[in-house]
Amino acid sequence: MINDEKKVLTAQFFNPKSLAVIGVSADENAFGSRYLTALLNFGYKGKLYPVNPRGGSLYGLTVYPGVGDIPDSVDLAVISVPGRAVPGILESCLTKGIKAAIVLSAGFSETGEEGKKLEGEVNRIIAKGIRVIGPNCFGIYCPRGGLTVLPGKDFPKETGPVGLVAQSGQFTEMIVLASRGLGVRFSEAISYGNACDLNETDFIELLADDPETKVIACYIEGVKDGRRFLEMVRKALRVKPVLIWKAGLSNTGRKAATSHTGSLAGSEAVWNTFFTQSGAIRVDTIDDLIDSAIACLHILPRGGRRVALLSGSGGSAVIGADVFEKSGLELPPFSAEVQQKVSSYLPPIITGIRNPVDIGDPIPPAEKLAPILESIAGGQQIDTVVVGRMFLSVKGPSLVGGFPKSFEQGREGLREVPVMVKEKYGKPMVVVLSEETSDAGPIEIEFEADRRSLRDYYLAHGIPVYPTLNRAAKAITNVVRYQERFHRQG
Amino acid sequence: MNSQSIIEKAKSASRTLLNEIESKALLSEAGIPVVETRLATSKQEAITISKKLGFPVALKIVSPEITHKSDVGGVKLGLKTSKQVEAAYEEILSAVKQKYPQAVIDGVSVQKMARSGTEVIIGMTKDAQFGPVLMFGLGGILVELLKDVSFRIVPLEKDDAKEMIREIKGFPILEGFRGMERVDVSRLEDILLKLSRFVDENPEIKELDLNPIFAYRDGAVAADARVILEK
Repeated sequence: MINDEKKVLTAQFFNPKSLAVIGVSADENAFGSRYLTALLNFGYKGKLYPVNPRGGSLYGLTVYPGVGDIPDSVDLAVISVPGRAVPGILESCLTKGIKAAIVLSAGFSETGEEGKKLEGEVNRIIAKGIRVIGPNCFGIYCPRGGLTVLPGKDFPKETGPVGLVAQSGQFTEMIVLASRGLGVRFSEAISYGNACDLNETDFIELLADDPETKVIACYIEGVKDGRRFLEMVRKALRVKPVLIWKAGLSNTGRKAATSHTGSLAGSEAVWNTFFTQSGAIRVDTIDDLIDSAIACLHILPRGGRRVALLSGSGGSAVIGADVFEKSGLELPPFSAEVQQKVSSYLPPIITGIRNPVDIGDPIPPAEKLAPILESIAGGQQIDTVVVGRMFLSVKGPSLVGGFPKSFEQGREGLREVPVMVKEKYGKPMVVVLSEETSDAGPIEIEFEADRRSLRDYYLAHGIPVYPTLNRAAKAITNVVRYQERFHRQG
Repeated sequence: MNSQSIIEKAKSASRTLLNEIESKALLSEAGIPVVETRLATSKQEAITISKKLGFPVALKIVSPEITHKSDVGGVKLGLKTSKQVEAAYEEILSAVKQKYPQAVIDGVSVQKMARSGTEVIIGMTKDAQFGPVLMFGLGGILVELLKDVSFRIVPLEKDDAKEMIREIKGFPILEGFRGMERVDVSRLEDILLKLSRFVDENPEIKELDLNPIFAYRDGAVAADARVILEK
């Protein structure tokens, strides 16, 4: 794509000044109506033109019988009519001079031969000069343009640094919603369905150029042109991290092969190759995708393979060493100077300060935790500091640890310690906050509220929070691999 | 014959499988080192070619219908004299005729036995989404058993060729594991890059195997090649 084309597409699809919703009806459950109410709820600021052959009015807006009846120019048409009616509607958009359309309707190539033919018809209209996202999608969520997807009336209104490209509408929704509580916000989230015109590669190209987008995250089932996809992902990775969740690996192509090479190269092997060759960050689940996005946002451009783990319990220290080393991270020994400093804050019974360091106290007072963390973060040989298995809230111990309420007194300031150390030493900090609680019902709710408030506090201060050491290790490793390949080369 | 005319000739005969001589001619034109191989259509011709190329030689059946040559008794290796060539020629023809009485036989290929070296395989197949993909692995009979292979999507950049060779578990073998001959890996990288360009320029090619390639301390050469065209 040339730059002008990118600008035009970005303006039309992400920031339309006027929008026609084609296929609204009095039935508020109809997709078109739900889309219209989602936009109204979300607070779209441009001009809205609902379209239905019966005309009339809906939610205080004039309903036009056809797009040709709209008295103004239209930047974007969102189409939600039965599949068979889509070609006719697209033709009328073309006549109206509309250059961009999102087709929400299903019933195309995803359904079989008939649907494929219908999509072929759509493609012939596209060739006449209109760009299309879809069909079979949920549309675009773009807070700065006031746009949201069909099920997105409650999506966050703030814009953010993650650009999402997702073939599936359902996962677009799930990813945005699951990110909401973790403080992750989106520049754009594009649900693109069958990609009969604009496809995953085009969106990655647009997001690579978008200054608001710092991280690109993708949910991909298949690609239209693998070679261009590889080329574009490689290009995008030179400027920002690209996370890809690839779903659906089959081996159908393999059976037809005549050569040795053909029989050894299944679709999975080729996708593995794509990841090796491009350097894209591979994720396998929603959690993985969000965890890694958070790590990218808060750890880059710093961080690195050498991790220090500080734990309040021996078990977590041992497990942490296993998990971190298995995922390819290093736990280098501390220098003699750091060891000496740390040991001066610990009881004399703890000898030999190793990494991971077990400080033997899951509820350290702030004045003890602070100098220990500072000594470790100040060491030259550590890139990232992980704090695991510790009550960083003064409430936690009395909620689940059986400590009397009086225990909380004089222990304020504990939660601020990691933030203070991170800011003072400019070193990435990661906190593991366990989701497990005791089996006592009412306490769990209060404990969970406490955990969430701690989590939100750290995330707001640029400290990734993970519920397990495993998830922390995986996210850190994903970022480190990306960083080693693309950042250190300058 | 240049590559386009070889491909055209096969297409006009509705053949998708190129024989060893055609395959090697194509690859040789692409700058890939192959063992010089000629077609003999009689015993006498086989002997004359053998003398010219120098003993020992290898004889292989050339037929558009036979893909797995050794399975049908169509390969004789290490022939040291004219007498052995003569006998081998007859044995190959009678073995093939017995197993495939209807097969069209173009003749027998004659080539000088390549000095044995570390066997590797390089190949290409097409993926429905990514198009041509190159494969690299340790060759010989072990490739199918151990599946110690790596892939890269075409077009390959220089680093891709470097990395895909180093990615296989058996890479230390190429570096001279326990007194084995150390291989000049840069020659293999060169083959991969040339092959990437070649398949990119020839979309009619559907699949391809260079198996085995003998890799040496000072070079590498493909002793057999198989090219399959798109229908």
